[in-house]
Amino acid sequence: MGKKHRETLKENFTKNYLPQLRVLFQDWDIKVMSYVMLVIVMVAMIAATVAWFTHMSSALAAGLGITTASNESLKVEVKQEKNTAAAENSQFVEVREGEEDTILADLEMPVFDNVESYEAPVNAASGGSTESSTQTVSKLAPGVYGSVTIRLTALRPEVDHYKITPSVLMTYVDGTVSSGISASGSEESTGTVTGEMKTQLENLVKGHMLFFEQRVNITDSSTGKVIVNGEEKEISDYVHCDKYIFYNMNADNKLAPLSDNNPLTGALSWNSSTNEGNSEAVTLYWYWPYEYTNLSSGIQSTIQLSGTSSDDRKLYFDQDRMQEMSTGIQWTETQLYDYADTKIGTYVKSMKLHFEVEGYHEQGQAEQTTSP
Amino acid sequence: MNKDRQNKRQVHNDYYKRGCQMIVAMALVMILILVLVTYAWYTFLLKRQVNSEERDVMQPYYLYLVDKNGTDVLNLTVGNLHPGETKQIVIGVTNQKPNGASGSGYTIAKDSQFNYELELAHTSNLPLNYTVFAEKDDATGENSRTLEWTDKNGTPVSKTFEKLSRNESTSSTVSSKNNTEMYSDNVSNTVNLGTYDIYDKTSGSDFQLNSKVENNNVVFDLNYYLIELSWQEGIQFSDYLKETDLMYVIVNAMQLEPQENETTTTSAESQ
Repeated sequence: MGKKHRETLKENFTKNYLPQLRVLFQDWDIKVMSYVMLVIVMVAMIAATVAWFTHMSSALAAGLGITTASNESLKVEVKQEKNTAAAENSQFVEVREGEEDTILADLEMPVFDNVESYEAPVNAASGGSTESSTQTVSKLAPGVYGSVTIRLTALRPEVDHYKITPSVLMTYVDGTVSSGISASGSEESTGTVTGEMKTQLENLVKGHMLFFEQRVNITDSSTGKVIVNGEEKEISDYVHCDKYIFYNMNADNKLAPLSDNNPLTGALSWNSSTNEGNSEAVTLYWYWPYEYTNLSSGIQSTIQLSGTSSDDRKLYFDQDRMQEMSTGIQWTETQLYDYADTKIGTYVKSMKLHFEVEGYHEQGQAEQTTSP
Repeated sequence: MNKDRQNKRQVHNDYYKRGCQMIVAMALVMILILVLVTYAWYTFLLKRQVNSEERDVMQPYYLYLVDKNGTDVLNLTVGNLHPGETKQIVIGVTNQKPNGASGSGYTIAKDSQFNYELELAHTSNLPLNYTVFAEKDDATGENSRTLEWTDKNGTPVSKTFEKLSRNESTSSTVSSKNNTEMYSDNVSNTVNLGTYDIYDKTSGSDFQLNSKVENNNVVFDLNYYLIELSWQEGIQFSDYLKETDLMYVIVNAMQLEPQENETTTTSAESQ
């Protein structure tokens, strides 16, 4: 390398790079401090977040004697089948995250005459029971009913309300499942039940498997009246069977079934002296109305064929038969409802009830309960 | 020289300003991400899922009347019945959709089991004996019948039947109810009242249809019955030369509204 070349390099460095280096290292302390501050802020925020959750869970751990750390905000327990050893020891069993397919709620469904029954395995997996047993149970069919009980406990004082949204998960006769159900071992979307049929069935089951918060005994159906909270009411105003009327106290629409648009809500309380939430047992009553006339007058007036067109008809009536009516075939509401039942029974192998349970904070709003 | 220094200062300020802006922007992005993650986590933890036990759905009732071939819709015809003659009509009750039936039926099915009743309704202009038999392999004696015929594929068929007794209380109730509905207050003055005979048991067991799914194929059920018509003893045939009776055969699935039954069976064995 010649002298001239070295001078050129030096000159090039002096003119082009040195000024940039000087600028770069000018006020280096401010720049370094800025970066340091950024890192400190990030660390502080992460630490604060973790500390917040840890603080909440540590209160929970002390209060309930749970040794494992938990960040959950709501303890959810279900009432299990009555005949299991686990259920006898503790009627309520906690459903922890990821256990919703193994810890199952009892349908609390009586054995019915006039309905086919079968031997079903009792939920022996729960509670670590080694007992293997079977029980005679009725199949699901129009006219059957039962209940599911869920116990909720707030794990943080700010979780002061709950919301429960019920739905139905189906396994079709070809082994495929409705959206939302865990498909362990069953074939996916290769079944013989078409997608269009599944859409119809998912709609129909919303109008045929109904959920309510309250159930009242009908003592004398011949009068057409029932006493609800001390007041005499018309049975036909409610979804009803021979034995019960159904309604809601803590939902926007008292007489309509619980749904996405009409969820069950309620208050959760916190015991500040023990620093733990008070348990609240919530029972939801389910009913598959036997026929059209078991629906409430409100639902009937919405979907009746002589009324204005309603999207709700697809929840109650067989859509294929509805289409036949455009060709001049006449069907009554009762027939359309029965055909929908037939469609469900033909294409749905089994069902399980599903509940989305949500805890939330509703500051400054008192719980309101009014008679429906 | 001063100008050169001012330029350098300007360059430095630009770098500094840009650096600060970048740091602030990064900090804001980090805060936003943390807030979103925290909120999402918190929200996620507030929602829980609960499932109930899974329960089978009962297969709906599919019920058809078929002829003695077992595959075609029943067309019930008796024709003329002469003195001393006995007419025998074989009918089938099945849950498989026969040829010529309307409606969808089902080709995919679940195991199914349901009871039904057979109703023989007829007018009473003619003094006829209506006797119903149910298929029973080991039936013998005067209350049994053995019939042989060839089905539409040319296959010989032989069936033995046993005489049935009608359900007296149900038959009486249904006859009274239907006649009252039809003739209102004039039942006592009506000469051709309907008779509604209900049969629901064979050898003490309820009439029942089953279907089973075996290797993805449905195995349906088919029960045969025999209806025998003959003139009653000691009648003057010429009195009824222009008279006609109508006869209906109806099968009703027992689709009564479910009622609670407290009886449950539980078997348990420890492992």
